Amino acid sequence: MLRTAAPYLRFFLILWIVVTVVFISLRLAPGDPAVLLLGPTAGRQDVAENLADIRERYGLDRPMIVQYGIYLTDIVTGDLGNSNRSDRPVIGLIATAAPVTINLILLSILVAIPIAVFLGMTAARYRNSPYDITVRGVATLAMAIPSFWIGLLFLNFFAISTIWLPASGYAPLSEDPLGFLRHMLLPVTTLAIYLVGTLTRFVYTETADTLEQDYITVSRAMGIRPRSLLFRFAARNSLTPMIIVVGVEIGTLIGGAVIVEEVFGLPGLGRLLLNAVLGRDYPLVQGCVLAITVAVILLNLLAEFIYRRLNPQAAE
Amino acid sequence: MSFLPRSPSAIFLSTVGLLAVVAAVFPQWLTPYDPTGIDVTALLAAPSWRHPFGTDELGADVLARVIYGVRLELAIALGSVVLAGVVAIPCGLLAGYLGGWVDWVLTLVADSILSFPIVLFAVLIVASLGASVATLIGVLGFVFVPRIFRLVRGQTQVIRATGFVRAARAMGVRTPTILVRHILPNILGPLLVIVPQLMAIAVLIEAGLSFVGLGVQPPQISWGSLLLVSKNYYIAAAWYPLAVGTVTTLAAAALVFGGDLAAAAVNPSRRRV
Repeated sequence: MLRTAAPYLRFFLILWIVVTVVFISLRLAPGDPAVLLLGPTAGRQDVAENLADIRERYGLDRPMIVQYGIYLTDIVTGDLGNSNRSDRPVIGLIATAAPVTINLILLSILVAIPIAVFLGMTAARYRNSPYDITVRGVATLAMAIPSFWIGLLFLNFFAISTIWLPASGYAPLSEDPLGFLRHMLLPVTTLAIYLVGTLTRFVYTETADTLEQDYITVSRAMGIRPRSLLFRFAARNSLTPMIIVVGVEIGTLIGGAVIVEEVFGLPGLGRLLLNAVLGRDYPLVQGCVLAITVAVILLNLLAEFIYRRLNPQAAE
Repeated sequence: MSFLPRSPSAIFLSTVGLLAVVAAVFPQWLTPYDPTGIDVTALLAAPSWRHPFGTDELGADVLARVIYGVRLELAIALGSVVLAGVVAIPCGLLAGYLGGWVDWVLTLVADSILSFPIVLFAVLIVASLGASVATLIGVLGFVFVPRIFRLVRGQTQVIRATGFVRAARAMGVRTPTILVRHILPNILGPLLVIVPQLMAIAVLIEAGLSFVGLGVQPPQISWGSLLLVSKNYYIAAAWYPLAVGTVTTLAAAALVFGGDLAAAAVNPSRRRV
């Protein structure tokens, strides 16, 4: 009966476990969690009362179960605490940085999908030809390139050696569309390389399978032109599962974005997170990880929902 | 000698794998240089016959540093996969074989861990435990658990339904014996496919985290820490980051390709890229 109450219960349980894992991770640390939460100033005499405040605020001198209760209540009410560096609410800092990262990831997906679909489908069409072997080899390499490394190569070639593109920084789309594109070109290319690799491999496998099915053989016998056979008849079946794959890859892309933003100096979530961890701003690290992970879970749910809509047979 | 690889690509990959093991255990066999040797007469020297990858900012041979980096690289990639396997294989066998609420709970936990983006989870744990090789192995091991678990669980479900397992059950063979003697040997093939895939992820995550200062810390030598150190020389000594990055890329690609080959060998009817 648990299975029938299924998706929603399951979804909330997953969120609950994720939130709990984050709670536990702070308590894993050796030493006083209050010191970790307060960050670099914790050792100073003049701020000793801040430590007491933090203990009081999160109930750190009370039983673990009480701490857990306070923590859950905070999260449910949308309070992720304050940054120990700037004392600003974590949720506000996240909201400011999020658009940059969202744009970066969205643009990478938009760039990568058409390229991957074209390469994957044509490679499957001309299977085992030199073209196919090249495409698959390049796709595997594209998956294996460390993104920050290729990013730095681009940066040094296009932005520093030649002065075509800005080396770092960001311009909001609404204020300076051209500047936005110039700042985004290299980071998006860098992130898209990985995605093109993964998606091409996926599209290839799916299309190669589809092309062997009976309906394709029948359509071919009926004299449908090879091009429409590939891009209209086969595409419908081999491309819908890609929605799920893109959903799953969003987690990996966020991880990639963290490092790509650092390389190109984009003021997004990744930079926020890395500066937080290097500056020992634990509340900010915790808030970022929680917020992004929850967003990823929601996006995966959305991908699955769209997929079910497009492909009713897939409903279990 | 039927276990020897036969196809050219399998022979090539086995050679690379063997070389990696030698580099990890006896790096001095592969290079005459000391990876930490300082040579003030050859700072950031360009590639030459003596130093095929050039030298670094202290005059040490870059090729030697890359070779000595294999040890940590392999320790991290293999260590995390083994760690994950120790937890994930028993859990996967139980979940797949017993089904019911055991399966439901274990799958739920696995899916929850799976929903953490790996890099973010690593950053969170590094924030509380500090950056070190041990943290890196622990984090990667933890996030690999659900990936191996799902595979083992799925395969176990398939094999549980086959005739020989049902026959064994009917004869009264005890569950642990069925799991270890009858099911486990039959899922080793698919496990062999996922191991190089996870090792490739480990190599790339190690590189990324070390590059932002959250993984292996210099002066410890791993490819990630070499990429971090070489990041200031993209213009002055481009071969240095180029060599290290190319080696990392090729190693990760070889692992992915190895996984593809294993997949094709395990399941010949289904082509993979």
